[in-house]
Formats: sequence, structure tokens, C-alpha cells
Amino acid sequence: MKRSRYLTPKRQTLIWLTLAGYAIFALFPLIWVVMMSFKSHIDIISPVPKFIFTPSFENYKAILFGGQSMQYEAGQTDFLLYFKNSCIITISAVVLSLLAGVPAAYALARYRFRFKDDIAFTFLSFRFAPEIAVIIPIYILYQKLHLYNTYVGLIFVYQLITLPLIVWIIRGYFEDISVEIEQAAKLDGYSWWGVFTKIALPLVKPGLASTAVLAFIFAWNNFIFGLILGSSDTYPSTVGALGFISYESVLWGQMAAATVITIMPPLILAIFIQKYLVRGLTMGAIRG
Amino acid sequence: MKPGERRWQDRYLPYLIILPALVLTIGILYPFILAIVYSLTDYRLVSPTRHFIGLTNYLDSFQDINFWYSLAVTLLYAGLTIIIEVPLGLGVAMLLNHEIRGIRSFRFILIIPLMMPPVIAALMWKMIMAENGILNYFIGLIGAAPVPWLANTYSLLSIVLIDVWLYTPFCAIILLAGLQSLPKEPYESAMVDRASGFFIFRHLTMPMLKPFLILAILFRTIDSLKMFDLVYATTKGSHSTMLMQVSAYYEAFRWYNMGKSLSHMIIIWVVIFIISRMLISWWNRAMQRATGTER
Amino acid sequence: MSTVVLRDVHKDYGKVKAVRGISFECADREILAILGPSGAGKTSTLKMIAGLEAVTRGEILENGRLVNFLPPEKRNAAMVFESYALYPHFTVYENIAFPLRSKSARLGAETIDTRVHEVAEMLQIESLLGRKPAELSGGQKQRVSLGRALAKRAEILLLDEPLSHLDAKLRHHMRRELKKYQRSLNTTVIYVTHDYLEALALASKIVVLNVGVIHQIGTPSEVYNNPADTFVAALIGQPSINLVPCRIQIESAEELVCISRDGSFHVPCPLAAEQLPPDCREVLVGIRPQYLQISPNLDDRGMAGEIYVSEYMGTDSIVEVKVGDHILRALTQEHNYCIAQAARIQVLKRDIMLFDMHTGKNLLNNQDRVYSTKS
Repeated sequence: MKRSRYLTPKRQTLIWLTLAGYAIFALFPLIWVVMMSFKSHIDIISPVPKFIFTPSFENYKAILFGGQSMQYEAGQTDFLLYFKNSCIITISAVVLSLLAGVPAAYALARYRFRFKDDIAFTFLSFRFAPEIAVIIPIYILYQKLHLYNTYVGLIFVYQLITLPLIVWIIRGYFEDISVEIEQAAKLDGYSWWGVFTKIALPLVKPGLASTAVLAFIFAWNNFIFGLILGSSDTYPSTVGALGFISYESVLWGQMAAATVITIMPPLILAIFIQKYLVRGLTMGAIRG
Repeated sequence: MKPGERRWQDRYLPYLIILPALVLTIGILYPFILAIVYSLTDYRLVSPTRHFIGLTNYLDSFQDINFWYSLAVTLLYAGLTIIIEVPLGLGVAMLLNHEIRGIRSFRFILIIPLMMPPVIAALMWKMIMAENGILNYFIGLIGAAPVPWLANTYSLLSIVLIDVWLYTPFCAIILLAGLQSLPKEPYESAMVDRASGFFIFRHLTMPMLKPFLILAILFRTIDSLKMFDLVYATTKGSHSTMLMQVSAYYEAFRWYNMGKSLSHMIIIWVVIFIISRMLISWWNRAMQRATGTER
Repeated sequence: MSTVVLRDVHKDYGKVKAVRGISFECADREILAILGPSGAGKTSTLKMIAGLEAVTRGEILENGRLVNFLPPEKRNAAMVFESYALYPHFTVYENIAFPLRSKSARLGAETIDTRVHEVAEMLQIESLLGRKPAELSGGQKQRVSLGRALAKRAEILLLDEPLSHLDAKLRHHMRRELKKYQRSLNTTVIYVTHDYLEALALASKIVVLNVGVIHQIGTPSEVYNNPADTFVAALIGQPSINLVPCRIQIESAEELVCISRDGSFHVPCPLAAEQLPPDCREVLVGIRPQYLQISPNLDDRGMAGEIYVSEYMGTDSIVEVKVGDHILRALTQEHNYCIAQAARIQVLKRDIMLFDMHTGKNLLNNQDRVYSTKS
């Protein structure tokens, strides 16, 4: 509902200004940190915050190429490793969830079978469960199974984030397809697999892509699983970013640079999925 | 194959299709069940044995002042975030619901905080809220004294601020979708009837927005009760910010009291379960009322 | 050989009984129409024949084989859905070619191409082959849907209200075209519709269905001239048949009269005393509008009536006459009636139908009644 005919120019400017104010609130931390990442150390610790300065790449060089080697907790020189870890774990987790979740979503959308609602609810419940409750037993299990600090171990736990999302949202997309189209395909001589691959999947492609991207973003942004079930070999960059804080001092500049690099992937991807965001955030409850 | 028989494949096909996902699910359910089992033991990681001690962990927790304190802080945190984020999100959504120039850019800018890892957001704000950070600088500009944002007295509020920064967009997006889904006709007839703006808002907009409000409250409540990332990144769990999952973390991984930690988690899980059931059934009813499909 | 036989078929959707024990047979290369209002269970029946819905009870045989559990992809049937159900992501060409590409079809690329063009030419949609369904009009979509079904050369063609979303002229045109296709392709056709004109025009056998139960199975002529009950009689015919509740009175040894409660409506009874079922005194008299004879000459015999409404339709006029408390609809080629004009109403005995008041069943069961002239 848009009451655009009631928008006098005065009102329009008022709305615009208020939104601009909120936008400043939303963007300021980001912009400030980006600036900080390009500041040299002296500029950062200056008592009067500097808005005008000569940019320098020293922070980025430090974390990417290990220009300054100092002894710190998580080892900031390993930042590239952490970034790589994030990529491997997140992408693999999403792929695994797609392979298992898309057929499951189809089954939930099209078939009636016993326990269907229970199974669907179980998927949903993962979204609401407190992580530590499941992390502790997994931590113990992983020690025994030698899965602690492994990619496989983390990829599996990340299913807790990605699988419910994919199953519930893509189920909605499948349900949006008219049943008769699939019935026509069956009558045209195709078994369930033919109907699934040639009709159902192509028709949910855009939704599928956007949901995968959304799952990627949420998985990438995760912190707690990597913190507890990973170690220096497998920390994702969200955990690695914390490594710039130590007992001695904080490497503000490098932390800022690490922060900027870490948020790049999800932010860029977010541009492409704006349309599908509401459905994703509410687990399909709102058809956006 | 006789045409009179039903093929076994047809009956079990859905189960086959769902099997891989099911395997993963069982892989996750098993630890959940272990969690419940362990919470009934005196499992400590350092000692090799664990004994079944029944509900002792739970009873101890109920008598432990720290447990109640942690629960109270968590509930306070959830309460504060919701009270601020939902109305603020509604306001932002209403502003965004106009087709003025540049509105698309605003809508994108709005979601930027939401797409960031909460830990990173916390680190950003940590840099801003430092004693000699930019925030105190601005405060100094208007003549006030610098605030120790992350010290004990203020830290909970600071984390609430970060939460608001991160998740108001969440509420705004949902409520914007709600506003945009509202049918035009009731508003048109209300305008013909010369109803006032407030009246329209209270009696037309709010009831129809109810399902969306409930959804926003549902997700924010649960995520606030579970909050870990923001606390750990800013204060690593100081006394005034000892939320339930943070204290459970330390209980398990510093003091190695797995059993006790899990009992805390089970309790908060039950709280989450109850609240979510209530909210979901409330949402169902609101949806039915809004679409006129009540029974 | 492609016969379809249904024996005591039931379909329940949970507690709702959509189809309650229907049986009929469709012979090889026959066009059978399932006629009924919405909710009659027509689409459910069609989908059970196609294998898209499970049969709750009863048997369906295709070509003598029990097919209850045969999945749709294995049945030799093709269907045109009411919603067309075109594949939105395929072009028209791909839509028509799709059934030909299935594993069970086993056709080479060249054959497929020839077939598609053949069908497209027959339906005059060749120019549309490169378009997607979203770019087509309703009539074009309908033809593509038909093309997809015909391309398969299935033995049984199922059509679910294929013309109901088309405008009147197009509908008329497609009716004739459908009949042509069926003849050239020699398939068995089962056609579902709520439009009795389509059923009468196209089918060689009509099954009248209402709320899951069959009221009558017969040829178009049988169903029109010899309706099994009031439902069938009222369903077929526009304007619909006049039904007047009457008592049977004995005038003399041979003459019986049907007379309404207030006495204003009286017509000769078409049955002799011994032909009436015992204890039958209350009946519904059925008169089709075209058999109601109106005469402005007040000296003529017949019932006293008054013109109520007159609707000019071009060749005919629909005139409503008030006889006592009853309003009767008549179809006449006289256009000059004025409202409140007095007239005399007559009906020939042979044009009168008689129905039992309680069961609605037709009391006359003349298989050999022949009707000519007006329709």
C-alpha cells in the first residue's frame, strides 16, 4: 500500500532525510572500519580521529603476506589460510545440503507419507536449537572419531545451518509449481526422476540459486562451530579475525583489514538475492 | 509384473528420496539425544568416567544464583532487543514503503548490516566503542564525558546496541514485506470514509500486519535467547554480559563440566521450545484471521 | 483396440466422497462425454482413468487389462488439462516434442521433428513453435495443449473441459475441429464438460454425472428426448425444461389429466391409467420450452395465461408466461408479445414428459420416441 498521492514534496524530503539518517547509522561502522583498514598505524592511534589521511596498504600486506611477524594467539599471518578454510567449508556445506536437501524438499512437497510432518518439523527445529547443546556432544564424539579440527567434521556440523534453510525454502518453491504440470509430464511417459530433473528442477532454478546463496551467507557468517570444533588448521575467517586481539595489544589496522576481507563475499552476494531475502529469512513462512 | 499389484517402489519412494537428508538429520539428532543423556550425568571431560546422577545438575542449577542471574540477563537482553528492534523496524519499514527516488538504494543499504557476520560486526563496534574510539570522540564534540562502552556497567547496553544495529533490518524487511502485501481496497474505502491517519493505522494496518509482527518477534526472541557471538567478541563474557550460551560455553570448555553445561542448555532449549510453540500457534491464528480463513 | 471400462469405481478424498460407484464403458474409437455440473466428480474420474489419482474402490480396465495400479507413465493415454498445464520453460515446439522424447517413446530425432510439425500444421500453430507459453493467448495455449496430447498418438485421449475458457465463437470452431481430429486419428476420446451443447454435438455416448453418481448413460438423442430423471432433463436444454408439480385426475375412462394444485395448469396425461405405477398420484410435468404453444387468440383452447417477460434473441424469443402461480418459459418465433397480454397456452400430449414427484425418475420410458422439427 503506497500513499504516494499524499506525498507533498515537503513530505518526500522529510522521508528522504530520515532514511538518509538511518543509512548513515547503518553504514557508518562499515565505512569507518574500511577507512581504518587503509590507515597506517600512526593514523589509527592518533588521539583525534582522522577523516583525511593518506591511504596505505600496509595492513593488507601484513595479513596477506605476513609482512610483520609477531607472536599472537591465532597467528594473523595465517589469515589467508582462514579465508581459504571459510571458502572450503562453506561451499562444501552448501553443496552437501543441496544434494541431500533438494530431493528431500521435493519429497516433502509432493508426496504424502507417514512421519512426513515429523520429519519436516525436525528439520525446522535445527534452526531454533541452541548450538552449544549439540556442540558439546559432537565435540566429545569428534575427539573419539578424530574428526576434531577437520574439514569433514565442520562441513557436517554446518549442515545444522544450511540444511533446514534449503529444505524448507525450496519445498515452498516446489509447492509453487502447479501439480498439473507434473501430472502432464507423468502422462507424457516420464518416471518421477524424469519429472524431477526435466520439469521440477528447471522450474525452481532461480529460487534454488538464491537459496543456495543465502545458505552460503549464513554459513560463512557462522562463528561458534568453527571456534569450538576447529583449531588453528581449520578456523574460518570469522574466528581468525578475532586473532588480532591479544593480551598485549590489539592490531587495529590489521583487524580492520581482515574484517573487510571477511565481509566481502557475503556482502557482494547479498546484492544478487535481495528479492529472495524475505523468504529466506523466515524459513519460507512469508512468500515475499 | 502384474498390473494389479502396486509396486513396492511406489510406496517407499518418498522415503528413498528423503534418505540422504534423513541420514544427515539422524547424524545431528544423535548428538542431541546424547546431550540430554549427558545432562543427567556428572560428566567432566577430565575424568574418564561418568556416572548417572539423574536430575542433580538441574536441581543444582535451580539453587545456583549464578544460573538465575545468567537467565535473567538473557531474558533482559531478549526483552530489550525486541522492544527496540520491532518498533524501530516498523518505522523504517513504513518509511521504506514509499516509491520515492533512490528508495531501492536505501532498501539495499538497509540490509547490509544483516548480511555481515555478527562477530565481525561486534569487532567493528568494538573498535568504534574503544575508550579512545570514534564514538567517544563524537560524544566529546558535544561536550559530554567519554563513556566506557565496554566496561561492566554499560557493556550489556552496548551489546544491545550492536544487536539493534544488526537486526533492526531483519524486522524492517519482514514488516516491509507485510506492508507491501496489504490490499489496497480497505484503505481506499477508509479514505473515502474520511478516516484519520491514526485510525487507519490502528484498525487497518496493525491487525493485518500482525502475522508479520509475530514472525519478527518469534525469530528475534529465539536468536536473542541463544546469543553468543556478540558477547564473546566484545567482552568475552564479562559478568554483566554472561548470557546463557556464553556461560554454558565456559562451563563446558573452561571448567569442563559437560553435564552441568548441558543441563543449562537443555533448560534454555525448553524455554525456546515453549516460546516458539506459543508464538507459532499465535501466528497461525493471526494468519487465519488476516486471510479470513478462521474455523 | 482401446476400450475403457469402469466398474463400480469410488473415489474418496479423505472424508469427501467425490465419486460413488460409477460404471460405464467406452467402446473403441468412441467419443464419450462425461457431462455434469462442477463438483460432479468428472475431473476425478478422468484423472483415475489417466492414472493420476488412485482408485479408492472399484476397477478400471483399459483394453481389458486391470490398470488400477498401473502408473500414468505406463498407460497409453494422453490428456488435455483444463488449465492446459503447458511447460512454462519450454517453447511450443519443446512442449509438443516432450512426450515424444520420453524413454518409453523411443523415437529418433527426425521422427520427432516430423511429428511435431505434422501436429502443428494440423492445429495451425506452426508460426508459434518458437514461442513460450507465457506469450500465447488462451486459444493458442489450448491448441498447443491439444497438440502435445495428439503428438503422442495415444490410444485414449482424455479432455478435461478443453473449451471452457474460450470465447463462444472460438469454442464453436474448436468443437468442429475436435471432431475432425478424432476422426482422422481414430482415437478413443473421453471428454469432460459442463456444457451440454458440447456433449450433444461431439459425443456418441453421454454419461450424465452429478455429485459422484451417474444419472444416465445414453446417446445424445436418448439423453435429450428421454431423460432418465428431472436432473438430466433440466441439465440439457436452454432455456431449461419447465417442471410443474401436478396431481393426476381421471376425466374419463381413457383420458387422464395432470392438473396443478390451484387448477390453473392442466395438460393431458401422456400415460394411460394402467401405465401409471401404482400409488402414483403426484407427478412433475416436464415441458420443453419449444413445445409450449402460445396463442394470443383468447378463443383457442388451452390454459389461461398472461405474458410476463419477453426476451428477444434474434431468431427466437424467450417468453415467460404466467399460468396461475406458475411461470413457464417458452421458446417461440413470435416477437410481438406485450407484457400482461393475455394468451392461451397449449401443449401436445406427445410433447409432455412425466416425472415421479419424489424420485424424479422419468415415468415414460419410450425408447423409440422420435422428435423432429424444433430443437
